[in-house]
Amino acid sequence: MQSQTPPELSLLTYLPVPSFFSSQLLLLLISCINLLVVMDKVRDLASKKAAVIFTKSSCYMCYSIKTLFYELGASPAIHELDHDPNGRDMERALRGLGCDPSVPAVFIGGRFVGSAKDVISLHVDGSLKQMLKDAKAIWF
Amino acid sequence: MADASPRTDISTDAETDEMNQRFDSGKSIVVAPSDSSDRSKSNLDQKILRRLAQNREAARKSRLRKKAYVQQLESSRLKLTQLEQELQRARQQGIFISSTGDQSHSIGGNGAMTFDVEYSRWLEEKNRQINELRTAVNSHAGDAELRIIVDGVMAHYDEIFRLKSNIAKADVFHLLSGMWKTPAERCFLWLGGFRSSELLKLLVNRLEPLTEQQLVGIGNLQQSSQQAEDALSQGMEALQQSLAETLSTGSLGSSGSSGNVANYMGQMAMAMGKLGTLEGFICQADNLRQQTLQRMHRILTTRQSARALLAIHDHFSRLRALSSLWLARPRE
Repeated sequence: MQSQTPPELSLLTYLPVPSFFSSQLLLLLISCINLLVVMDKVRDLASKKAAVIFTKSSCYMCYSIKTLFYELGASPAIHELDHDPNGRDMERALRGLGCDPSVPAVFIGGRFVGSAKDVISLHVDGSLKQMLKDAKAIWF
Repeated sequence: MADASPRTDISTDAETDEMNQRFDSGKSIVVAPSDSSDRSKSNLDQKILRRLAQNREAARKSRLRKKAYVQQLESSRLKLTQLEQELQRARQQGIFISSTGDQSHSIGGNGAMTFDVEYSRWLEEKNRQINELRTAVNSHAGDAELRIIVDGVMAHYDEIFRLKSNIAKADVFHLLSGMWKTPAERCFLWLGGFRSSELLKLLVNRLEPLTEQQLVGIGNLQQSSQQAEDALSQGMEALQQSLAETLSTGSLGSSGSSGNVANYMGQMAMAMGKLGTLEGFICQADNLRQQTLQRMHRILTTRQSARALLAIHDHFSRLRALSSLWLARPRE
């Protein structure tokens, strides 16, 4: 977890800063870019495997969803946000996608599926298994 | 002079009446000789007449007061028997009722009691709906009529899940304890409610004839809900284990050092965080129950759904009846 100033802020020392407001705008611009970059990273990770789950090691609902996937025969890629240096930003990005709570965040075939509630509803429906089959995460 | 006071049923004031009559008759004896229009005598008559009138008035008022008092007593008696019945009903449901009515459970207790009241009201409404459904099914009502009642029952189920999610925020342990259910129902308690997979197992035999597609659908539904239940159970177990570990780490021996106190506080803070996640598990368990019921309703025809809902209700009402018998069993 980063505790020092993020690298973006240190850029400011190299730029001429005429007024307080323009520095605020600059900060806003930089954090927007940051968010986009992180969202890109999240999507990139999400498309690397047929089933991807973003979790936190302290989240037990995440444990349940992982268990469900294993039970179905899928081997999802697990990314623990609390062990990722960009974890906080990634969490923000996931929330931006509409994931509430932010973990577990499930992606199948690179597409955002939802949090625990969505996954369970889809499983009861029979849709989850179909999605996994379509994405070739499971075969039967 | 006729007595103008209203008649009462509870008139034990016959003696007052009699006294008045005696005065009346006495008065007539007294009045007759007053033809001589003696001043002092007529004053005396006035006084006597006035006294008589006052007597009558007082007697009338006394009778009215007595009537009002008796009416009050009777309505209180009615209320008392009603309260006793409610208490008896609540005791049968195994809800703890303190005879002195102590309010030692502050916030959590109030929420729990409110929920229990809401739940019993929900049950009453459910009973009413099920009776309506049963009548319709037995009288071979048309699909359109059945559908209306079945949709009503399904909507009513949504209501209990809404009530449960409200109380889960305030007092998740009340839901987990199952104290809002009867003892026999508590036997089968899973994460604050029933197990959908078990319910489906009960229904399959009662729903024949099912088409091939329906059989597959119900079978898959049973399997899916079982898998989801297992996943949630395992998550709960992991949480329990972690909670136990959190509370057991740290030295038990040396006490008093500031490091230990800070440790203790830290552990408690972590444990509090973990307890907070219980609400999420109850919510997901209820979500599973709700989704399973709705999916079942979609797979079945209206008539089959009606029979399924009746079968589900019968199952729970037998459990409740069993609880009543159990609570009333003779003990040594």
